[in-house]
Amino acid sequence: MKTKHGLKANVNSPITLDITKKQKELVIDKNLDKNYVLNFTTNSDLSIKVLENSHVKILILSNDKKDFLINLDIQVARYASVTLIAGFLNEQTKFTSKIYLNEEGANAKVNSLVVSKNTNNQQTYFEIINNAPHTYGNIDVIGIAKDKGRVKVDGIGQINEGMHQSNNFQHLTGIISDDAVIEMNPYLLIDEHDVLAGHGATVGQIDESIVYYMMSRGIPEDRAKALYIEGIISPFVNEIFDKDLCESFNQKIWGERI
Amino acid sequence: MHKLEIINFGVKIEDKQILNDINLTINAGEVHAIMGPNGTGKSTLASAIMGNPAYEITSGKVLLDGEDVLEMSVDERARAGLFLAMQNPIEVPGVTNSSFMREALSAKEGKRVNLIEFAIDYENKAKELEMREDLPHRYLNQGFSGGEKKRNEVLQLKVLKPKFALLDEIDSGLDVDALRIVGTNVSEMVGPEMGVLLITHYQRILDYIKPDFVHVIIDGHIAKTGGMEIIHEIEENGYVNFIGN
Repeated sequence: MKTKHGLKANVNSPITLDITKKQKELVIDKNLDKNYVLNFTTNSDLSIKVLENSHVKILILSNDKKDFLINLDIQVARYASVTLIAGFLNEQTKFTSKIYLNEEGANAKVNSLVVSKNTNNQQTYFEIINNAPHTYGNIDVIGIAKDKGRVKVDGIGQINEGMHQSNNFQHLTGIISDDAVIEMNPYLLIDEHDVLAGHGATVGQIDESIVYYMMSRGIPEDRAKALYIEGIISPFVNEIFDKDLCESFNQKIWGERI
Repeated sequence: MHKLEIINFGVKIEDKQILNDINLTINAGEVHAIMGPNGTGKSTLASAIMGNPAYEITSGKVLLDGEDVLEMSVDERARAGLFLAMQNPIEVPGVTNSSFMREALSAKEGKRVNLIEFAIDYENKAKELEMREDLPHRYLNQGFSGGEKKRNEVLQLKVLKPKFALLDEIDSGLDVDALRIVGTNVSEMVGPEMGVLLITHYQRILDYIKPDFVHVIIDGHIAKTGGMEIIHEIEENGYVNFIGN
């Protein structure tokens, strides 16, 4: 099944699409400026085409699903941009997204939060491929693991030969506690000289000097740690453009005291 | 009248003894200046009183209005009325100054403080310190210059109104105008509700925050206590005359 979206609706009201097993392709027409919420009703493989000069944000949250197995393939055309906002709180995730910047001026950002607790296991893979000159990619992922939870994040930036004046950056941040496991793997595959690229990954426990500073102002230890985590995840939470989803996602996070 | 009593206080870090047998009583309304060469334990004194987990208390008591603060957690000490303005304030990404301070004030008062009342009071106090207008929305100390961080510590002091302020080199990194602003704001708070322990290397901050007592710490103990005459002695001859006391 193929769906084409060409409605020039109010940019402030996001479009929510239920993605079923049958849905294989989503085409976003030219010259649109829209926000989409993709609600995967089942595990799926989905291809998205963002056509020329469209600017879209795509929100995917897995918070009410036990298993979340998704393969996403996004093709970005000339002067189009896509921001993928993806949050994972469920028991088991296998999420793969590959974003192809196929024509000049194409731009992609990935902003993701991956949380694992108890014995949950989240495996995510984010790749941005510069397939044309003057294309721009950025990946930011925050992983939080506690109890015996596992988080694995692969971040891949690939700039192909001849794709000059392009850039591709990524930063992976991991916060770990208890007996949890975090694996952050940033990769850059660069076959062109005239580009800007960078990658980094940091994994650590909650910064005790920050907790101490907050406590020295009278904030109890538990609340100080929560405030610290709120600060870490705020770049992601602030990107959730659907107010109700943002609220329920926040409640899910704090209701279960990550 | 609030009273902070430091009695036979000894502190070590790892295996190194830093402070020995420190005795000091500070009443509300008093300013006690602590001076001394680098590495003699001045900052250790303030940090250990506040409860920094890096330090181990080896002897003594610290009483705040008769209550032993060493039995309290760091946040309990703060809510009981201690405030440490840190030499190197910590940067906290993602947490705005205003939300942090509202959280701290709510913790102190035991109830969620009214947002509007808090915002007005916070902005007025920031103006008194001549801070940037976007301060409430900036992340806590992140990207602040050294001087801005010190002003922010004093802003927190003004909002939280502790019984005792422990000011650890609040003057370092300040230009002459900022020094005057910080000094004047702290000085205005000294009174029946607040006393000050002021750690400094320089006389210039004492032009604004007048000390009632000056203590010189040498090698982890108080080598000399007196008044302004000690400042003049240090200005003229350094610490050489205090070594061996």
